[in-house]
Amino acid sequence: MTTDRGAVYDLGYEPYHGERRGRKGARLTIWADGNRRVLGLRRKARRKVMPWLLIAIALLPAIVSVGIAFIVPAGVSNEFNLADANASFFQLGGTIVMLFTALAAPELLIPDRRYGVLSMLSSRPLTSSDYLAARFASNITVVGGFLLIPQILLFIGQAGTDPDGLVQGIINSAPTIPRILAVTAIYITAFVPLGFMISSLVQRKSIAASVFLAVIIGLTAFAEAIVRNSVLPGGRWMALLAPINTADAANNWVFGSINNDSLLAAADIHPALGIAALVVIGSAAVMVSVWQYRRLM
Amino acid sequence: MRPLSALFVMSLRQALPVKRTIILVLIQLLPALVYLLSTQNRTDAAALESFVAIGASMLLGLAVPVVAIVLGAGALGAERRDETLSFIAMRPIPRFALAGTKTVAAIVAGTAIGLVGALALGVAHVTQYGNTSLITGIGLAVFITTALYVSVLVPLGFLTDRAVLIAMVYLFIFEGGVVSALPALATISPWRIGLSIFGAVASDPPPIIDDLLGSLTPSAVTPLLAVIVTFVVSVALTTLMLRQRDLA
Amino acid sequence: MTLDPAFVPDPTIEVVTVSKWFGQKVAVSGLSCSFGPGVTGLLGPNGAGKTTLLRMISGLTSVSNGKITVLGKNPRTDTGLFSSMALVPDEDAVYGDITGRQFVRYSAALSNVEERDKPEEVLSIVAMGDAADRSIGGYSKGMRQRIKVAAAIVTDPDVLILDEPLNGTDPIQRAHLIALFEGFGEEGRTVIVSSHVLEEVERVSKRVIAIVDGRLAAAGSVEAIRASMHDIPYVVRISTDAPRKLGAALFASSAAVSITSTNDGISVSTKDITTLGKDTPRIASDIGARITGFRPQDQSLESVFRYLVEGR
Repeated sequence: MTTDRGAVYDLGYEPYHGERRGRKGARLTIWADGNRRVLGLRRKARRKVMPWLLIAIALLPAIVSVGIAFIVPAGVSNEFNLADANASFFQLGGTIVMLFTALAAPELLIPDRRYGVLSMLSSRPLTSSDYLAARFASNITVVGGFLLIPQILLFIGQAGTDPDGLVQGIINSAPTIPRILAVTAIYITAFVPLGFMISSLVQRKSIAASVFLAVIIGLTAFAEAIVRNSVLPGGRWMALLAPINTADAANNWVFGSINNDSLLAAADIHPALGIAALVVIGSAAVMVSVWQYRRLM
Repeated sequence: MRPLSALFVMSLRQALPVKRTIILVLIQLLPALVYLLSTQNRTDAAALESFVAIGASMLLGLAVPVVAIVLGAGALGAERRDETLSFIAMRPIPRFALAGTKTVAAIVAGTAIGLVGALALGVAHVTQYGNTSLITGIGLAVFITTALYVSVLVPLGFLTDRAVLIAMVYLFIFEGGVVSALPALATISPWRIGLSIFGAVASDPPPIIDDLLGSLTPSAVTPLLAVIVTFVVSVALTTLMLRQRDLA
Repeated sequence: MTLDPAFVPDPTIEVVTVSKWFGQKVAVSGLSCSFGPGVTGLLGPNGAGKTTLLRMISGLTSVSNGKITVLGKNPRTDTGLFSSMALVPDEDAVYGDITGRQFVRYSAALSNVEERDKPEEVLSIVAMGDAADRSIGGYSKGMRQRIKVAAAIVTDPDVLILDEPLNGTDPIQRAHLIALFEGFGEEGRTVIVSSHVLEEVERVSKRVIAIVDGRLAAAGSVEAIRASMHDIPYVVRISTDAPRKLGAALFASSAAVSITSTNDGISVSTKDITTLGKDTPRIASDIGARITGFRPQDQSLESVFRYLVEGR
């Protein structure tokens, strides 16, 4: 009599026969998931409140201005002239985009670490660089969209209120498009890499958001005090540590408006140098994030 | 009292782990550093004005609220999200005592951190220009500001994990923008309420303080009353939530 | 009048027509039962409502309908009750940055335990004395379970609720904990153990409450529950040297419903195991067959559990 027992159970298991999308598919999935996560899409209603509230706050000035511009006849008042409003709207959105970045970056990186999902992702055709690149792309997408939507509305307003009609208005306003894209990239460079780096180092979303905001505002206040009030040798170069001021100055420079009160102007530093500093700081921040995730994944 | 003191001590420990404490203290020291670097070779009056402008805007308007918001939101919020709320809830401790102890611990922790910044700022001024009453004034202001923010954030942090972000939006957009434009709303600006006790305690505060206070006037009594009322309402609200909401 | 097996005389915990819903999802529906001194096993498949029930008994979750009392008091409103009650939850519920010893001492302090040596005593009871000074963040799953148990028993509770306490424990740790729970039950404390490790629940508890889809599915001892499943025949494995001959002859017994033959025995389905037990030796003797084994296959808790779940 045999003592070995065995049984085969056919549970109807079928392996997956569909398309395997590989690394590219995995990256796209992480990118799309990141966008949904930040905006609260396919999630409960309360996950949508904060991001969409911030988006509404950012959009409100644009909606009001464009609305009034359509109502008030052309030539009645220069106050409702949308022609040169792009720089102002970027500056207006500066504080809000900072808050939006404080929301987005921690949301993208911290939950995966906190809930142990990172190890699961490591078993997929996904390197740490793929994961980080996809999350970074997601961060850029949502913050870029946040900055661009009021500008798109403004563009429509500018084209629509053009005395030569809509089509000609679009043609007339077209030269602002590369500038809008350039300034969007500048604000993204000012905030996103720093938020990303802090979120890759800190364990809790609330702490990451607080540290990010404290760092940005602290650096700005520090730079303001040194540049405007201190007699420290070389103190004027501290102006390059203030992301908000640098981005605002670069914004005005790109759109051709002059602001002699800006911190960079007070420090006698050209906005192009400010942009270069943002790129250097941003690159360093990204490298820190890459280093951190190479250790984790 | 032993359960409450154990809860208080552990809450302090949870609020201020070593790494976080270092970061928060560094944030608190920034106003003093900025003040030092921007007031070299200044007159007494100009230095005093800088003290208020920097002490008020950086310490009370940024550094202290950030700490208070983080600690207040985490007092019960962190326990809930770490799933340790059942551990402290299933104790023979009345809910109001639990809520009160957690709130007090967060206030104490936040005030301790904030006082480091106040002391640094005060010492930076006193060593150059005298006027030790500024230290007392700014210290009291730190306590008032911390207590107000913590009291609001404890129930909010229990309710939602977005409490910190909501509070930051309030801090930067409402207090930083709206109240500056509409001074009448200063009565619901916690850091301006803190500033008003500074204005009442410090001898010869500079005129800039009136601009910052908006519709508020320097007072020692009103801020203390505001803290008591806010604290009581906060504990009552938190107690109600602990009783009504599912804790696990 | 015989008491319904879902209820005990002199109950410590009474659950009276309790329902709990979360939005549209009904987690517990009209459940009535009671728990008394000794160990009661709480069984059910995933999502049956066991943890929800335990949390309602612990006062952590409100009831949507019905009433729960523990030692005659409402656990939701009477915080004084928690000096006599402790929960070992399913989730981690530990502080990762303190040591095991600090955690147990904290638990003792929160419940105002007066004996200063009690934390050390319970640490050695759960065999965590050596690891007590390490940070909980570095503990394995089994160690975390044991430290949670220590934090619960340091308060010397009259009512001990354990939600999946054996998760992550190795066989030696498991045996140790089961002996501990048995000891508590024998001391007259009310112990509720929720577990999926069925054979261990069978060992530790004589009484079982089974929940399926939020409803009470069965209550009582395992054997009594099985015996009350009249519509589900027992399966008995009879080892014999003449399986076909015995199988053919057993059809004469009124107790046999169906018979399956293998090389070394037969499996008989019966609704009356007692009659089959009497008839089988007599029939075997009549035909000259030798019986070497007579084993019911599905009186185990696992089988009962399977019938309860799959039968719905």
